[in-house]
Amino acid sequence: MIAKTFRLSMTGLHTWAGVVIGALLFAIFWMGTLSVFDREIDRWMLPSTRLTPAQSAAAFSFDAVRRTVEPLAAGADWSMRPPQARVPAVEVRWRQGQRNERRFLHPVTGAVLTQTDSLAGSGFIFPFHFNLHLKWLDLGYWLVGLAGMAMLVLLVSGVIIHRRIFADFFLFRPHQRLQRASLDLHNLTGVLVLPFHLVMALSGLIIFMNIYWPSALPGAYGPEARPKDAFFAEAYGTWRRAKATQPASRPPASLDSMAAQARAIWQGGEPNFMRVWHPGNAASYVEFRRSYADSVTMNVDILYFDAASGRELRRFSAAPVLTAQRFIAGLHFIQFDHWTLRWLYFLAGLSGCIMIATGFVVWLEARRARHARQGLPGVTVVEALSIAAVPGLMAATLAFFIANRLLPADAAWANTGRAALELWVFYLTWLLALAHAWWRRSRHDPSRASIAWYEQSLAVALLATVAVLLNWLTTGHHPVHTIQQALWAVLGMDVLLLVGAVLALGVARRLRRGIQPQTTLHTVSAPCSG
Amino acid sequence: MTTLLGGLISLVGFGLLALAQSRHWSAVTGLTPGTQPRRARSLGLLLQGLVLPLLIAGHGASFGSLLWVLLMGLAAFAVSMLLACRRRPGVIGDHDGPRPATAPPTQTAVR
Repeated sequence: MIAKTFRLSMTGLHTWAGVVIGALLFAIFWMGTLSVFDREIDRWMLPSTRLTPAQSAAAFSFDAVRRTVEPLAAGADWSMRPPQARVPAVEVRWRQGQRNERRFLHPVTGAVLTQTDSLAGSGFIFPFHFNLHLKWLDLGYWLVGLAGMAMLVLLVSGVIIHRRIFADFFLFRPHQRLQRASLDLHNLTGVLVLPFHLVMALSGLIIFMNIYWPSALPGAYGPEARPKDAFFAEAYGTWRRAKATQPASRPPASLDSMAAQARAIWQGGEPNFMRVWHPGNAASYVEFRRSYADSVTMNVDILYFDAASGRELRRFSAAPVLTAQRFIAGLHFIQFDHWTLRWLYFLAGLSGCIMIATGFVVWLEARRARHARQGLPGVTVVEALSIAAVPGLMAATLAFFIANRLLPADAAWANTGRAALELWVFYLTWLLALAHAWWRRSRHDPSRASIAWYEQSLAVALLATVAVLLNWLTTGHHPVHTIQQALWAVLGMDVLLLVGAVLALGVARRLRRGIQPQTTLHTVSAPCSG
Repeated sequence: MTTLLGGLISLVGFGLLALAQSRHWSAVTGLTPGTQPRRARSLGLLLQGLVLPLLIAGHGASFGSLLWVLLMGLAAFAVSMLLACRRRPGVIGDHDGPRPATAPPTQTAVR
């Protein structure tokens, strides 16, 4: 089909790119939006790490952590993060054979906190946002990259086809029929938050430049010289010292004094990461990385110390070009401590979710009558997919939270550990949502929207409420307790779940109005909140 | 504090920009379209511009400009919601302006 005008061709592009990639794009937006609060989700899902500010503010010692960890890690390289604003416990990691081990320590007593075997927010939700947990052939990264490119195409074509971008700048008519109201909301969330969406799509692509532009490194460093290693050494200051044949001849120097040196070199900059390489070996050394809590740019300031003498071995800071890349990455990762901005990012992300969901509704409503008349399957198929993609994914995420609260600590089934069982609950709920959407497709009157929209929105409201109640039942941390103990992450999560439940109820009600035959529409009251 | 102030100024600015449009002007005030004050628009734009230096002064260049962009989106969205609450079915301005009712834009966009 050759379009007659440029705008019409852009309309076709926007419509079809949107409907083909929309479900994937929604999943990426949804998980990205939740990732804004990934550490807070971690606190909710790993209850032993819910420490009150008073418990984590006291003086903290790297050496004390070493005394606890080195017997546990049994000679393996280990790393740790000191307590931070959003992670009040000390996070320690090492490798045991093929397994990555992680423990949280109490920042004052140094005690190992009870472990909840869960990937939680930063281990499941955040990686889902950028690789969909599809590791094979980097397929997930490529799909997300494709969606990122499509997002840019959709934004630009959307601006071109929006006829009256300034005249309709503030226009939202919730009382109009579903298609009109959805298009208003689609335009509103697209236009008002356009700068954010553009920056997120573009910076997301720039972050993974090495994956999306695989020939760049061999091109720059020559194919023979292990280009990836050469790049990381030059750009990110990666440095390794080979293990010596003999063990360390004297006890290692104090880590706290190395940290003090680091603070002096960084003029007050705090270390936010430390790794001990080859512990107990004569060539053992310690790596410190500088925190970026106070700036958008994620600096690459690294110091290496000799473990035995405490002498500085190497000092690295990123070159200007990489610093520019790290600024763009920082815009996307928001690793800085700025609560207003964090909430604004969350709202902007949600607006992206609304934009994609309403885009689906507009596509469906514009074609529903015609497809029904002509007996075309398009609306039925796309509707089932979009129901599974939007309320279905939300329900699956909530089921993931609920599984986290319900599964016993030692849950295991057929070689599947507790953390993996949580993921199974997520994926099976999602699959169930798709099956339900297909089963409840509007068979009898295809000119009406599927009742599954309504039912799954109700399910979201119910599951969100159940999650809050289960948090209370399994940890005793009800909202009054979280306020008294200043457990803001837990309180925020519970409050957002409840707000989400109320919104899902409201949406369910509005959708049911859209599902009813047009003739009864005028009898339904239309309050402002609808 | 500067965040709150900046957000409020941005909100007022977008309110003015909305009132500068005859559709919203008549829906909010009930007056005939076209009678809106001429300066509302430039004043609204000026206020948006004022918020940026305020936020940069309060939060530094990078946090300040990020806040500016995101707060403007939030403020404009809030104004849209307020206008949607004022709007009732049948009120002047609820229709598509000059566009004939037989051809809503979504219909022409469909293929």
